[in-house]
Amino acid sequence: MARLTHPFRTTEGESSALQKLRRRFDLFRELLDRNNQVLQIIGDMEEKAQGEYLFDLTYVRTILEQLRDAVHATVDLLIDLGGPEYQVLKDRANAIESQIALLLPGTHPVEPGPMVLPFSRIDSRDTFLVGSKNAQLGEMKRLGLNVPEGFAVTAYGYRCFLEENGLQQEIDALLEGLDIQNHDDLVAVCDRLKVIFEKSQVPGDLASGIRDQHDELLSRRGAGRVALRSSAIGEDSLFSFAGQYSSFLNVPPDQLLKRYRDILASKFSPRALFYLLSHSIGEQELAMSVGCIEMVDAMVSGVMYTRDPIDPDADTVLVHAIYGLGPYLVEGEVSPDVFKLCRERAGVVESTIRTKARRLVLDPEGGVKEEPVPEADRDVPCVDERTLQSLVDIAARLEDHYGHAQDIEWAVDRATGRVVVLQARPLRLLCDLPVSERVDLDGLKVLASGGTTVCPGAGGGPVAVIQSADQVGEIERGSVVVAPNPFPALAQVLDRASALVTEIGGSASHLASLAREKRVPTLVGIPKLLDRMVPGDVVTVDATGMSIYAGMQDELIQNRRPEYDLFEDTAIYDLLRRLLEIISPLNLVSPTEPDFRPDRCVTFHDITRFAHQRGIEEVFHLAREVGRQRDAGAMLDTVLPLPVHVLDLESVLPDGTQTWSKERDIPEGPFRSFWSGMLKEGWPGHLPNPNRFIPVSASHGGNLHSTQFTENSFAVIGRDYALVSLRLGFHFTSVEAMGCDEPEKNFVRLHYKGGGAAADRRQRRIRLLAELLSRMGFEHIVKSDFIDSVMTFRPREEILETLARLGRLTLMTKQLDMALSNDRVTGWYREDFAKRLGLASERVFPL
Amino acid sequence: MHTKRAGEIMIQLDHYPHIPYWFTIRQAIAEMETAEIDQDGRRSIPRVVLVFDEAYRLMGFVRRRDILRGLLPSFLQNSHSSLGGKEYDIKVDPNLSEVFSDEETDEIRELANTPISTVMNPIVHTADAEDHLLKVVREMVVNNYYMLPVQREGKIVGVVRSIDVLHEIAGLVL
Repeated sequence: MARLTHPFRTTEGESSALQKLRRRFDLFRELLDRNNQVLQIIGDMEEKAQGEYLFDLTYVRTILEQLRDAVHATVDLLIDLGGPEYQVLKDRANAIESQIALLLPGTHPVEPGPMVLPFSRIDSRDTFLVGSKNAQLGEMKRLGLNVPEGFAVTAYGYRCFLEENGLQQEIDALLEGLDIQNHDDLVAVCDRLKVIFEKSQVPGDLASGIRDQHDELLSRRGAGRVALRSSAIGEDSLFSFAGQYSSFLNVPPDQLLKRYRDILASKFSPRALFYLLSHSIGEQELAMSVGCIEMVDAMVSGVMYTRDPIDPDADTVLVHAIYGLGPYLVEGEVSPDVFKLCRERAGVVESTIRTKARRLVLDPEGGVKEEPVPEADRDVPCVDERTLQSLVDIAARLEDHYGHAQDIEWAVDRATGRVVVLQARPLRLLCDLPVSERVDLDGLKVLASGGTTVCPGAGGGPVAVIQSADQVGEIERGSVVVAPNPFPALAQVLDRASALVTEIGGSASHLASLAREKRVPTLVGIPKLLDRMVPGDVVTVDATGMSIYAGMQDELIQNRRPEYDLFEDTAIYDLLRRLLEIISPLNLVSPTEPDFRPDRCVTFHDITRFAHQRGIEEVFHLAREVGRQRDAGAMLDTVLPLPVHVLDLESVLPDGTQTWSKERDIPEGPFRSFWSGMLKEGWPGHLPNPNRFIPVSASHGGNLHSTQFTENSFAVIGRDYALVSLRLGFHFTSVEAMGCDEPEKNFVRLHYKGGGAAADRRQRRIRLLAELLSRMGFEHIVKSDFIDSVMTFRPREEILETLARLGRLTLMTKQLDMALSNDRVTGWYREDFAKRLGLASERVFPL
Repeated sequence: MHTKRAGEIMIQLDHYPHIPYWFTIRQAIAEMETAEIDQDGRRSIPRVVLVFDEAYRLMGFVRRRDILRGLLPSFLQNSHSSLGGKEYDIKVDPNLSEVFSDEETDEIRELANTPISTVMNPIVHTADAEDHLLKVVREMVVNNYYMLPVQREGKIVGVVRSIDVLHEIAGLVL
């Protein structure tokens, strides 16, 4: 064998192929970083979407920005790595971004269109034109519910108002450089804006449009007055806006346009402006629509929750009611009567009747006024059973229609005695108390604690330890599943597990994502967990409180029940969930499927999954190409009779000019571990007396064209990376591994193919490998005599230990196929190897 | 009556246990203990394991007695350990086996890890797939074999065993 020069540490002599590989490898490492970043961001968003944490629009915008950058960086890196054929991913990323933009508030430009629209021509799809409040009134009218007649002044009307008065420039000038944290400045700017609005004129065509609709409404309904209510665009996705803008009741005709202007100006109240700007919402992003609604002379007003927010599963409807007009209720002026109604039977389950001494009524002069409630009425229920029955019917209808719990404003019309629905929006409530404060944890035996909550909640049951994919089927329903790491096959146990705990892991794994989707209380990252958990013992995992307790702790489980329902219906959660629908689902699962193509990426998760897979493959292919070139690296000086080229990607070998790399010079890392396993197993011995044993002939089996049985073997090594490609006898093995300090980046991948024996023996060897690898925690794809086996998400030490085992296994199985004449002997070898490799033996193999 | 040729009564190589020469006696025992040969519904266990080299060429064979010889503790072996021995060998008293102890068990386990190549026999005779049954019978009788590798066009394709030969003869005489 010719001794080769060692060109790779001197730039001068370094082969261009190796230089290219090094560059690509750097890109690959960066791609792994970025990919990981994307998964972490998605994990964080999913966690927030579970409803346990509060967040605001600023969070959504910031995280989307980070996500976008990370996805684009990932795609760019893949294009650098693999060429323009991956450009299509860029298009996919842009398309997903456009979808995201559509969901975000304020990103809808206000297009020219009608300036006023009657409710009869509006439905829930028109939120971008007339705001949510108006749109829902139109929608409920369409449903046939008793809602007041009226019309909306659209966002386009608002735009015309601004344009006609040249207001945008003035607003921009005033807001430029405004420090919203400085309250005095904020108030001064708002006062100035108020004056500007007051001086502004409603454009002629808008004014006549409003008046015409108004007059038509009054003449058709025979009503005297209207209410003007704000209905800001995007208010539904920005829940905290509620109540920030003005509304006016009982508006006389001559004040119509003034009140319209006042409502527009209320966008610039200090409170509302602070909210907008502190949430990174541009002022321009929020157009104001106004609803002009026939005034309901309310005998009684109220608010109804279609679910009890404290106990959403109880199937009760909560009704709050006062005499007179609604503002005294929402503003808290009067304590309301509260009725808890049974949805099924419409009966009152519980009621609290309060003294209602005052009420707000319509002032014949316009506006509203307070008056005392007659003595006799004060302490009796302000609604009768018939009204309550109507309310329960309305609750059921609206909940059915919208698909989630509703918060409904209603009134009883003095003229007709009927219930009128004034507004409906998703029920939104905030968590009252962190639940942990309500559970007494004293006296419980703590078995383990710490880690990271992936999915909150608590669950209990008998411990089932699962180390590898082949044990998935053994898990019984209700088990607390304990695993060394979040390997993907665990996804299959989620439907059966009451809780899931792993020794390592973070919130960015695919499994974490699925656990959240399935809402299995999941806690990860508890060291030495497997040593502490006894299979069959009943334990309770408190994922929220990050502890594991002995026994079944029912009270804790009940209390930790994630209060999703409390949060789910708030608009901001809804926004986040809708965003996640186009960000997080993983459609491209297996690279072996025909749909694993860039044009099939429909979510950001798909894009990163694809880029990660192809990134690995690009480096692998190039490394193999370069590795095959004899002048690309040094020869490994080893006791094994195996010529191996070593390509040093990151100058991990000592400086020098030697043409041979010594085994002992290889630094600790994936390659050293693998090679040490090979050395430990040792090369098969030579024939002791070759002259006595003259080979008779070749058999008929296998790939006999090869005479050089160890050709083309090479190793590409980096600090925590190695790719070893070996041709041993008739089979081909390649092992690729990353073993850095971040478990989420680590992987070991084994390809094993071929053999010299007949097909059935080669396949037996692959099955044997598959079973042993499963016990080591690998998952694989087997096709005939080929196996592609992957282990991910392990700490560095475990990766290195696994590689040492793979090194041994590689030599143990060298030409083993020859010996595998039947399944029984295959079973014997499997268990024999398992024992020698220190792998758990599930079965005692009977000879 | 048509009498068969070696190729017709042989066991296909695929169905016969074989191992590489660097495998251990232990592994050869596993082959023998687990293999079951099914020849036209007649089941039997192999008395021989074939041994091949890296290039998948037939190197030799091991019989049960070769394996047992390889496992015999040293003090029970004659000074000459090859087949037959010599006239002036000192005979070992087999009754010494009564001292069989853990130590000997350990030695057997250790011996079981020696490569099969230390106890295998070279292939001296083979049959051709076209060989007539009687030619096979003669080779077996003259050379004291109960198994012959069968070649076709220079490649080993299977083995013919005395039991299968006898089965054919039975068809002639019974």
